[in-house]
Amino acid sequence: MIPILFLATFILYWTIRTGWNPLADYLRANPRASAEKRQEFIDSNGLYPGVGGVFRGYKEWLWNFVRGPGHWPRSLKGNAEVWPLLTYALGNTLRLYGLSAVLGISTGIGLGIIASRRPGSWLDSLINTTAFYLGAIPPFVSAVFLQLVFAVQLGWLPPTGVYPPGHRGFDAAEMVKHLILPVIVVVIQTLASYSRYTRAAVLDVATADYLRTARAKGIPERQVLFKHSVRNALIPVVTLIAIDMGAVLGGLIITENIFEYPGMGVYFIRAINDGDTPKLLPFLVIVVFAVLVFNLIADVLYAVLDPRIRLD
Amino acid sequence: MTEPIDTRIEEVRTELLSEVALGVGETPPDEVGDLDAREGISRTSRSPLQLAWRRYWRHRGAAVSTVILAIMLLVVLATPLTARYGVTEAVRPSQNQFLPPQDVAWFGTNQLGRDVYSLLLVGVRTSLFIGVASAILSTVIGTAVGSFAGLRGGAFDNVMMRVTDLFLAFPFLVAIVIARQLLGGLSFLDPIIGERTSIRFIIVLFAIFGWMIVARLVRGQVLALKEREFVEASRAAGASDLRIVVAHLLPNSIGPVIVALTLSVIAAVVGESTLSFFGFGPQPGAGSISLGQLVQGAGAAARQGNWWLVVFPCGALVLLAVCINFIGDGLRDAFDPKMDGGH
Repeated sequence: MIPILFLATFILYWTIRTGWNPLADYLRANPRASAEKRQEFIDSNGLYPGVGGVFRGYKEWLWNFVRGPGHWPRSLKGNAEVWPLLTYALGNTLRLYGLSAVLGISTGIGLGIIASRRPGSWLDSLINTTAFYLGAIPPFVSAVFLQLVFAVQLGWLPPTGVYPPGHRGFDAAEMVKHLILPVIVVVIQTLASYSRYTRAAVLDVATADYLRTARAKGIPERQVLFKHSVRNALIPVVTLIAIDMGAVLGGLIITENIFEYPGMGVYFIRAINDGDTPKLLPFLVIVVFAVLVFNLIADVLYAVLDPRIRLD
Repeated sequence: MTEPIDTRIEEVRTELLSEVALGVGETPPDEVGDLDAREGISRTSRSPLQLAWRRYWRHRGAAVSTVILAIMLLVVLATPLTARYGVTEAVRPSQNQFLPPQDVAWFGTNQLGRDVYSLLLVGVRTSLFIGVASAILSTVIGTAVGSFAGLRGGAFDNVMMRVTDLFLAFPFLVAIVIARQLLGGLSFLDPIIGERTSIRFIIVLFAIFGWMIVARLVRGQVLALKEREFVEASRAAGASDLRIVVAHLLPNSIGPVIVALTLSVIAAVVGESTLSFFGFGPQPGAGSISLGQLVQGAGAAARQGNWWLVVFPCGALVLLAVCINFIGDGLRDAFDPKMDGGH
């Protein structure tokens, strides 16, 4: 894990240095920066010339990064500290993600179990077909459509943001109202895929010997379903939730930007558009770290849930 | 989630599911004989391909989708005949902006007074080209890497699978936007893949991320097949690795590869639209346009209430996505009857 982190952060650092021109972006954002300011930016970001300069810059950047947010280079636009911006965005995203993940995954799994009870019945094909169509819709299409219909045409829900413009302080009712549309978009996606996979997983174990044994012992059908069938079928689905985290964040980027919801997705796109590499790099490190951690969790979870699998 | 992400997850999922349910490895491809008998089809022998063909057309969604897609392809490829205006041509000399759908412009006009219907034909053509080209490219790379890794195993295999795992778990949009910036910054690549906004660039970009799904799939197939008797016989007869792959392993795993190819076409089309939606997409030169560029305006148009600028481009995209997904589904059933989720 540690060597991978070193490698990953170096690749990210090198990518940022090669793909962007931080000094040019800095001058574009601050056209009247004095020579000292410019030198300060070069020093704080470690923008040394040449191939050796990249390694030297990486070393200094990593040291400052590990030392804590107070030592991170300041953002290019507005010269602000990056950490508060990042935590604000992360908080908003976690709220949106947490809500939609709980709703989407639980209904998805529930619908998948219902569909798998009678394969081929009208209920099964209804759930299956709906999931199929919903899964085929790109998230930005559903987001734009929901916005057009429910926010612009009908005016039932606010189109963008967390609070109405000019709002101050905390207001749970407003927050929920602004969350409804983005949550629906993410729920549609998760629901579609989870219902199909739960159904496939339950059907996969449907012919297992231990289910026949359980039924032969006279265990009531409800208990067979939840204690034997679903419990085993959900092993791969549960580990997928962990693996999915990174991918879901990708979907959130789209949703957040359409609804101008100030989370990680808006943070990311804004940083890209400004060429704001001091903001971008910590974001990417956090994403890579999260992906690695959740992959690890998925591996461990898999082994814990399924005793047949052993970690060596 | 975007379609590309969805298909990538699907790969992970199918693998996980199949590992748990079937032990390890993929389904062996020789179930066709049994199925023939079980379904009570006549005893006259049919080749596996003929059987697959029959199963494909019996899949109602796939059959209908094939017809719809064929019609769309015909209309789109015949743009000189079917388009009513040029890409840069206004429908009327003046007062032509934001016209709702009417006689002079069936699908309305955009902010520049151009016919959405004609733009849509050109856009779908460009996007399908991007999709097909990058799907073929990534399938070729993925097949080569996957069969090599599966056959040889060892360190290369390990490293490749780890890298693939991480990339599949990484947010697609983040990865692709960063890679786009990086590739554009490497000036020595410019003569090969062109500017960040060229179509060639976007095809290479999607291929770079698309090959891993195919590689993983082919690797799984190769692992399942390589211990079989016919491969052993071939090796005993002195066949080289290349010959074993080309003559024995690939023909036997062609089904899943074709399914993956189909799905990566739509993944690339949706990916192009998504990138364009954020302004990172390709900008085909004068006289051309991509579906993504049309979709790009949808967000702003929705807030202004110009519904036709949302409904038609997004509708075309969804129609394409649904059709190609159905076709992929049909192909999967046709090539691998066991995957037909319990019907």
